[in-house]
Amino acid sequence: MILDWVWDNFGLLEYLLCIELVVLLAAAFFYQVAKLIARTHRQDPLVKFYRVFWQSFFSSVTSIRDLDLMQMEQMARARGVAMVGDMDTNQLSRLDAPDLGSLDGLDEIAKPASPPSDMDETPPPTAVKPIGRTGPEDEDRVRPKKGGESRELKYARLQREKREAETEAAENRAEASDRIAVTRDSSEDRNRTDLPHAEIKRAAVSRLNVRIVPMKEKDRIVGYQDGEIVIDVVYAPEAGQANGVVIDLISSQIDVRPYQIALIGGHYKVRKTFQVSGLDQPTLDARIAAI
Amino acid sequence: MFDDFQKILQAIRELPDPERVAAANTAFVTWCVANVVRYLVTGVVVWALGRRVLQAVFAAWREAKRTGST
Repeated sequence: MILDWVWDNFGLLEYLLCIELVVLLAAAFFYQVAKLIARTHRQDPLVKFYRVFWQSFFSSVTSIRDLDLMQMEQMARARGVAMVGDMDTNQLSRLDAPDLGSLDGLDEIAKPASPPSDMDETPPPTAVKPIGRTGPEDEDRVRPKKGGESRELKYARLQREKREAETEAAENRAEASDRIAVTRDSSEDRNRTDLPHAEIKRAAVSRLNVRIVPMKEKDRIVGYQDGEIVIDVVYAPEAGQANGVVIDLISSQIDVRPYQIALIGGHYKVRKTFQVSGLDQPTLDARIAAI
Repeated sequence: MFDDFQKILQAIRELPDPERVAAANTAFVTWCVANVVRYLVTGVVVWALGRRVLQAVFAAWREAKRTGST
C-alpha cells in the first residue's frame, strides 16, 4: 500500500532525499555506537569520524572569518597591494622593526600652512610610500587637522618624550651599574630583567620558511630542502585549515611552545612564513639543521 | 509529470462545456504551479542537505585518517 503510493508519487528528487535521510539516520545510529566506544578508546578513528561528522554537519562549511580574510586578500591583490606573503626578508624585517626615523620634523608639519614667501623654494622630496605598516611617519596618519595638533601628532610627540625618558633612565641605570659592577656577581646580572641583555633575549625572533604538501597520507615533516622545511599534511589546501597542524609539528620539532610560532605569511598558500619568538636565527637554524 | 501534463491538456481540449473548460483550466494551472513549487523546494532541500552531508563525510574522513595515522 505505502510502496504503491511511493511508486506512484515519488520522483528522482524524492528518492535522493530519502537516501540522504537514510545516511543521516545511519550516522546518528553509529554516533551512538561511537559514544559507547569512546568510553574506552577516546581516540578511536570511528569516534573521531562521527564526532567530526556531526560537528561539520551542524557548523558552517566555511567560516565567515576565513571567507572575509580570503576576500580581503583577493581585493588587496586586485588593487596591486603587496601582501605579507609576497615580501622578501628585508621587507619583512621592516614590518617587525619599523624605522621611525627622526620625529623632529613632525612639529613643523603640524604648524598651519603659511603662504610661501619665496617662490624659488625647492619642493620637498617625494617620499616613496613603503609597503605595509610603517608607523607614525606615514604621511596619511600625520596629516595635521585644522585647528591644532592632531591625535596622531600628539601620539608621536608623546612617544618621542617617552623614548627620551627611557633613554635617560637607561643611561642612569648604566652609570649605576658601572658603579656597583665590581661588587656584583655576573650570574645575578643574567637574572635581572632591567638590563639590556635581558631585553635582547625577550625580543629574539626568527623566521622560518615552510612548504606544505597537502593531501598526503599523514602529517609529518619530510625534511629541509632549498631553505625551507617541507611538511606533508593530510588536509586539502583550502581555507588555511592545515596551519594549526603545521604549527604543532614545527613546535614539537624545534622544541618550542606552539604559541611562540606565528604565521605571518602565506595563510592560504603552500609556502608559508612563520615567526618564532624566543629563538634567535642561529639557534633556530641549528635546530632545523638537526632535522 | 510531463505525461500527466499532456493527458490533462488533451482532456481539457475534449471538454464540450465552456464553463467546465474554464474551471478545468484553473485547476490545471494550480496543479502546474503546485508541482513546480514542489520540485523546486525538493531540489533545493536535496542539494543543500546532500552538499552538507558530503562535506561532513569528507571532513570526518580526513580527520579520522589524520588521527589514526599519528
